[in-house]
Amino acid sequence: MVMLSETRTESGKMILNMGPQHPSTHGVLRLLLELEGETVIDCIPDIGFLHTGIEKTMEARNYHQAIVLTDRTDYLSPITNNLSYVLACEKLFGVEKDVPPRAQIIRVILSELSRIGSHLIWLGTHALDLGATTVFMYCWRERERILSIFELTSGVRMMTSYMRIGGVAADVPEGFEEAVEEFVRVMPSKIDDYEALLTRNPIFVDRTKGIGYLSREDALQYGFSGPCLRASGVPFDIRIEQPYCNYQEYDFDVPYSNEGDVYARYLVRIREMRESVKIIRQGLEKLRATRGQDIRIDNPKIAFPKRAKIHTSMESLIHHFKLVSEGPVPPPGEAYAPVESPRGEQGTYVFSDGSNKPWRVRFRPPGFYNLQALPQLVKGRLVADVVACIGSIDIVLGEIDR
Amino acid sequence: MAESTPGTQTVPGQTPQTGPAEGVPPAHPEVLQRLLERFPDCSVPSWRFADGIPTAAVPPERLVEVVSYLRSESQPRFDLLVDILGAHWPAREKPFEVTYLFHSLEANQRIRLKCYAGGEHPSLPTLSLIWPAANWPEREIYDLFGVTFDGHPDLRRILMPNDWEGHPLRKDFPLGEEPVEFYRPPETPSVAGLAGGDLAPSIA
Amino acid sequence: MGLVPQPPPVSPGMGFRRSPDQPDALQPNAPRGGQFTGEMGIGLTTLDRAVGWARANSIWPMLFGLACCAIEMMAMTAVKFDVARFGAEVFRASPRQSDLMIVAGRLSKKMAPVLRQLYDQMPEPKWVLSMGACASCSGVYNNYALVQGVDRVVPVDIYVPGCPPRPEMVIDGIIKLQAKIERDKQFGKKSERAPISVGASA
Repeated sequence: MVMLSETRTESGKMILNMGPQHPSTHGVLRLLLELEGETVIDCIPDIGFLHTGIEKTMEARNYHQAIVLTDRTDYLSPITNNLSYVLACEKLFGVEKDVPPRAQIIRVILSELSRIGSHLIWLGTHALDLGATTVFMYCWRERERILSIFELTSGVRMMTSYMRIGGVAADVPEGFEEAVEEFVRVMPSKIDDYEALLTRNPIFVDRTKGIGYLSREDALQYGFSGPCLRASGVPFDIRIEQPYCNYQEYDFDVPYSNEGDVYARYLVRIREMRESVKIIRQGLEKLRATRGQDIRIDNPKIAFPKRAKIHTSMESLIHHFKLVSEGPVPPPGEAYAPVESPRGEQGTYVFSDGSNKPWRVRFRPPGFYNLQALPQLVKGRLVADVVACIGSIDIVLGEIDR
Repeated sequence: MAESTPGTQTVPGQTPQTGPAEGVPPAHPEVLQRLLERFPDCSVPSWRFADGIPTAAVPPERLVEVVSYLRSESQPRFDLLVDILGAHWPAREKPFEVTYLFHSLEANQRIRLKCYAGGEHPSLPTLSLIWPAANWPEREIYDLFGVTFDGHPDLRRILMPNDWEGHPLRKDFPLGEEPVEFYRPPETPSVAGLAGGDLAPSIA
Repeated sequence: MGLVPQPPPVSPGMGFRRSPDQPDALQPNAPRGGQFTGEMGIGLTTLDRAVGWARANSIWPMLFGLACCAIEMMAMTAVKFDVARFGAEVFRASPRQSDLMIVAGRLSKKMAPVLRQLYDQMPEPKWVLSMGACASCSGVYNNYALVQGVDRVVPVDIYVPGCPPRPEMVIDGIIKLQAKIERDKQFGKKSERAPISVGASA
């Protein structure tokens, strides 16, 4: 840890330590703020307080066991992490075109639910930092609906690990369609409620408009992605540019703004929640149309054979045994699969050396690149604006530190 | 598995390989062709790139030139740095492999560059002076693999504590697993009563 | 003469424990002696019990959310699981003003000195609740980067397993901690504390 012996520099500036335990840093982030009075001259982020060695641990598990570890990187939206790892593995195995459509639809619905859930946490904590406690309570109330849908589907509220190489773990249970439909019916009016509280609220606008401005060129130079990049004028969305899971069949808009400040990022994310609701509605129709279809590929070397087959076919039993004991084995190679997570482009890079364990797994964390630009965002602003900026770039230290 | 029973197949790739395999040579899209013509000492590695992104291996001394070319002069221009990552292949002559991924907004294409470093003190030139996004990823590769980046303004550890020794993601660095204590026999009768000593099976 | 306080009814969520003198009988985890949680009995005879009751029902947790468990801790304070019913909704950011440190999430080796420093800055009486599998025993991560269990750095009073534990499990942990606080001697030397594991219902 960087230890400071002098907190006052010669010219009278003060170095203030913010974090790693701080209510507004959204995790264990440490910021060294060089202040002159209340104005920030420089800001040095110090990360690594949540480094878990996930990438190294995944090298010691086989491809199937490693799915469980992927949930815990970006813990606000665990489904998109699962998805990016599983998509990379499917590319590595060469089966990305064979995944059945019903599995892709379930993946899309769960990803969008996860996106709304993550944006709700972002909105709740961001507004709470700026003083709006009611929004925090409202957002968590809606999030409970989403978590109960996840619990209905996979049995777990947060770390679902629901994706499998070649499909999803199991078909959605009875009551899923009704629950999602109810959510989709209710959600738009709730988003209206949040907007009614914040969008034209003079206090909120004063604290966010013009703060933390990042120009288009700077955003590209810093490797931004996701809502932060879209709020700076670049309408880049992986779901449109490099579609995965048949996103090209869904009709949705990509909101963006040219303002580039904290308020613009807020508006972009609110609008994204509405678009996600649209996508889920379309996904539900497709789900109804594909009732009874497969949810995993039929390749017994990669995905578990169906339960009924295991009881009757010797080969299926042996394949099941091999998959459980050794795991699926891809040919040597490497693959990268990007996914539009609520924070930006989250991708997993998987290297294989031909054995049953991945040689190297790397998560491309969107927050890592977004956080690099924080000093740029807060130079010359007040300490209170630092809080607003951290909230607006929506970092999750779990994926930054891995 | 020397012989397989009829009607079944052997699982491919059961013998682990530690180096690149002979793969199908990747297709050369135009942007890669132009890059190879402009910089003849770049080559295409013989490895299976399952995601279809065109890849070129760049000698370290040309890295900054190639990246500047990609950003300003190439057709299309690659204006977004997606990722910089490292990997350690101890069986190779130059064990440390650093991969650079770029994205072009105008053409919606990606390209990947690979640089290899080896020796006692592996090092590569830094991109952070021309591309600010490369600052932290290079610090991370230094922290986890030990590859130094010449010219980096602030090369120090980023994820591990400052006084950590070793570079964790190297293959010769152990995972650090501790043996798990599944059952602890009760030491005193009072502890046995509280913990419910009949809970766990006796493991010798 | 006077009402004898009865032990509260045992709900299915509460843990059971075999009593040391009667191994076949299951005892609910009711606090032994002193006031029962939430009952304003007429038997307030000693200052000790009064202080114990007050301390237990107004626990001020410290914000120490590290990772994913922090999200479930926030859900515990939110509307559906409402820990304010139990007096613990005032999450203080400063260790000087808090009693309970809920270590929610995985503790990396870089963060361990910070944890210890914050624990030392908390004034007595203080308790530690280790929330989640990673805080209790490092969970799914048995590797170089994590401290294998928060109890290697700070003394823990209650372990709540789960990955992440449901908010109800954490609230159950807080209730058990409340029972423990009431049982403890409030003045004088601290008695030895033994950890209680929530969910070990057999």
